[in-house]
Amino acid sequence: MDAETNINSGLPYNLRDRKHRIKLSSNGADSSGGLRNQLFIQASHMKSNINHRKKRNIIFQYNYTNIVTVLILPILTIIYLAKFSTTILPQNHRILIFTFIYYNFTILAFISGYHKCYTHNSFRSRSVLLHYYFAIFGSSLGLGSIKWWSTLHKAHHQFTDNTEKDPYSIKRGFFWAHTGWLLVRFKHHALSESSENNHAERVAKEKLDDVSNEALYENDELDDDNDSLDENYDEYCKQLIKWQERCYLLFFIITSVAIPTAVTVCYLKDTFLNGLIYPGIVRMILCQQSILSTESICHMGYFNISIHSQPFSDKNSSQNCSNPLVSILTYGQAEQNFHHEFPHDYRNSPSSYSFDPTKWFIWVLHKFSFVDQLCVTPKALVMQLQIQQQQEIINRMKSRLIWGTPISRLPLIKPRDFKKIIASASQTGRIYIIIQNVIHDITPFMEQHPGGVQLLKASHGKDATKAFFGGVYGHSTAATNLLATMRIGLLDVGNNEEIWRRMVKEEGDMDDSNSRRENGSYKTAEAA
Amino acid sequence: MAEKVDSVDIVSLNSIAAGTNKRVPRVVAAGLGGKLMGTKSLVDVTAEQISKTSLETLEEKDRREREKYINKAHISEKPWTLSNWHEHINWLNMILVVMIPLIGIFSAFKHPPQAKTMVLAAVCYAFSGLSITAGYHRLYAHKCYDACAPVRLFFALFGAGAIQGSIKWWSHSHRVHHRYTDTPRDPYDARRGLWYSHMGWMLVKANPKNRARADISDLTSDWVVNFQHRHYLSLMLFMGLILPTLISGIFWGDYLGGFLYAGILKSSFIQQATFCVNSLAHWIGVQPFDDRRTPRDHVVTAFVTFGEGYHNFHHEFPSDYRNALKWYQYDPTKIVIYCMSKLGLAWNLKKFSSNAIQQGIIQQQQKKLDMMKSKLNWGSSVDKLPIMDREEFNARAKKDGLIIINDIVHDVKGFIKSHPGGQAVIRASLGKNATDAFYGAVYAHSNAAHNMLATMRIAVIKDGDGRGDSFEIQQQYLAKHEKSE
Repeated sequence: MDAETNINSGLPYNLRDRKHRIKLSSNGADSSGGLRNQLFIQASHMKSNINHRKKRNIIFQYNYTNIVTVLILPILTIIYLAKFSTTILPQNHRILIFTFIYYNFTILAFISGYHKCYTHNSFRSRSVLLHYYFAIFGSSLGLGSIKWWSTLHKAHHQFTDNTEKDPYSIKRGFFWAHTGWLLVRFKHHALSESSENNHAERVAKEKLDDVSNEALYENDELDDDNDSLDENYDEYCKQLIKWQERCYLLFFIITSVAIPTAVTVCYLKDTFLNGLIYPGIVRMILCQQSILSTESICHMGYFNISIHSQPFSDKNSSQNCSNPLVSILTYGQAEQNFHHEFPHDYRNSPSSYSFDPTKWFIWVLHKFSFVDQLCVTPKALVMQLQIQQQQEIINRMKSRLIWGTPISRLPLIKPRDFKKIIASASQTGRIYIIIQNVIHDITPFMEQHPGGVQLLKASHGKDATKAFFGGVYGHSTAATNLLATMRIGLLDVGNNEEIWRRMVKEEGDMDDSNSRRENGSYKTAEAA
Repeated sequence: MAEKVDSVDIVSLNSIAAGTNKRVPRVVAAGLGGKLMGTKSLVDVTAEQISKTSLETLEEKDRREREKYINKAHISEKPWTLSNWHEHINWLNMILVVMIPLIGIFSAFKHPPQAKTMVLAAVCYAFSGLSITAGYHRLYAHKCYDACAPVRLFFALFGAGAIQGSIKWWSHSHRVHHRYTDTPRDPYDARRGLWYSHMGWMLVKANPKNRARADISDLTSDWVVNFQHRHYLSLMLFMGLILPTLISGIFWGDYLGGFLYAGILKSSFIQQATFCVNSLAHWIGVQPFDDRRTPRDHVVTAFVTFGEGYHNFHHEFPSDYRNALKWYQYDPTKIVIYCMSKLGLAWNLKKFSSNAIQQGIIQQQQKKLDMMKSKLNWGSSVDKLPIMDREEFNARAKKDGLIIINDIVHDVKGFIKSHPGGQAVIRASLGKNATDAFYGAVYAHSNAAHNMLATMRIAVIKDGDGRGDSFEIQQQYLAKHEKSE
């Protein structure tokens, strides 16, 4: 019990609560000292920095690195191509081919590195070379460093559609979700909070690590040999990410300017400018648009041509765009609904035939055992979620329809009274028929009865259960549904048990969410 | 509780349903045609017989019928041999439905058509086809709407030209088909195979033990129906064959072409289209409303049959004047009826409420979903789990990798390595109550994670309040914390 409370207090839920946080961090500091304390100081420092910055000049609210890479360079390039260049496409075909190859090379580094490996932990890279490839060529897209991008991306997954906390919330408009979020420095508490979050998480995690280290020694039965390796891996990744953040601009210039121009000049025998424009900047623009459109187009409902656009969950805006054009535009990341439900999966769609180059790339790497621990969602889990979502839609539709008065709310009518009603009904021309002890007023339906009015008139005031269920005609489900909408009362014949049973059966599946409670009340009622 | 409400008398109800309770004025077809078409032996049955049998299960009934015919077998029960094959065949139908069309097709190869004749054939085809679908089927057999006398006369005349029998006979057998769908009493029982339901049923003599009746008193009180039935043979010959021949002969001199293309081939095409409703519509397609019986919805059947292809809907809601609900589904008959109602030629169009239709769709979807659900592992339900007390849990927790979430003991041993959030978190929680951590204190897990968790249940902790719907509890938990924030 002691350990239990310890854990619960060590895992902060409510991070905005300042007191709580301080208490927590002091807790952490008490229990394992040095590093954690340092981290906390760093975080509070950051926070005060941010607060400070808020008051400072408006100049600081923009993210100038991103403005250059996402706005200025593309615009300059487009102006150059449109006005000053003789042709839009280069005359040298080899440069086009190189641009295409380099496009794939860099975007794969970004999606499988930045996105799948460092943000979602879909797999672990066992090769140092691969890590360098991800870190260096991923930065050629000009979308920021791994740390910055993955922090925001994690916030996006955790707080999808939240205007405050989701950095690229679609609720702030298409342009914002597409490019706008890149241009503005995060003065919102989203960043500060997620960094705090990270900090708090780190504290919590380290605390957990301590506990788990203890636990490790205790349960040798569950042991395996990977553990020390894993810890090294995490530490290595942390170092790599830090290093990449420091050298981000250098890498960006190397991969977007130096390498393309060098290859163009040396191997393709073309001009320096062509090398800068096509494999350098035009490729960068294309890559950026591919990445950015997943967060904009694939979160907008009306861009979609498929029927079941949200097969897994419609609680957030993520869509499965089955349009092949969107699929190509987003480099196979169009099935965002799946991705938002199963972010850890290294694939982007449960189907093996979908266009998803990243998946193929990672799979090939896996076959050559450069990466391991691929995260694959079991098929059954995917099916379950799909079924649950369909069930939810069905329940929603069900609740919109009229299913007739539930048996529990029908008035009880004694047979004697019913006979009186029949006697009076013969003057008004209404028709009452009993089926399974429920009295139905058939009058509005009389003319529509496919079997004719004669049969209904002949059964007026009588129990037609047998005739309804096959004696004369075995009615369809639709007919039974229609019948239920015409219920007016329950005949009190003293056979309560059967009626209870029917009630439980009917109202149980009428409304699944309430079924348990209602069933419970029935049970007690029956017992009483 | 001695009081009881009377039950209805099934026998008398059946007699009403079969139309045998009153003296129906017998409409006898004139001349030779009536004798040839006579279905007297098929409908000659009393209400008592039907009531007696329709209350039993089909199996029992079949068994009883088998015993009854054990000594005196009907021709349809005898095997086909060289000596009796001609007794099996209904020769009139054979000639009308198979031989004449075959002769027509072979002659058509020798006489290429003229363009004008083809147009005439197409017009005749459309008129006769619509008379069958909008007239015979939806107006007379199902009473989906009422129409004025000229329209009914048009349907009667051009319907006769389709060579498919009189309204009276056609509607009667169609009503029987709807009443006894997929039973031996169904004249075109789809369970006996595609070929039987397509043409087989009318080419062989039917077994009288499967005879059935439906009430057609509303039809026999209509003078158009009586008139058509009485003069069916002459009407059929004139409208189906002679009129097209005369038109193409007099106006552009193509007597033979008119007879072949606008007469014989047109009729046989309509016949085949109508047979497709009985065969194809019970064979290919989807069942969005009810899958207990054979009718199915398919766009191919609809194209072949003037929009009668949405048969699953039609069998669920037979007296709806529509067959296709959606605007993009092909149902020209519906459009014709709708236009007639706008012109004042038809009225009283019957429609089932969209509520009832939606209910059918939803129930069928639910059924399919339940079937899919039952194939998956959802973890054992909370009621069926054994109860574990704290001591046992504490003793086993570390060794077997047990975690308590929501008062349910989960065996996570096999899952530790594949936990997306890392092994450390799980290892640290072994042998503890990780409810809050799982619900959001550390990470608010997805619905998929809850599903997976459910498959690892092994017991309920003693004195605990374990509930199965852990994802809902998490939502409540998160909502509560959101508020307190």
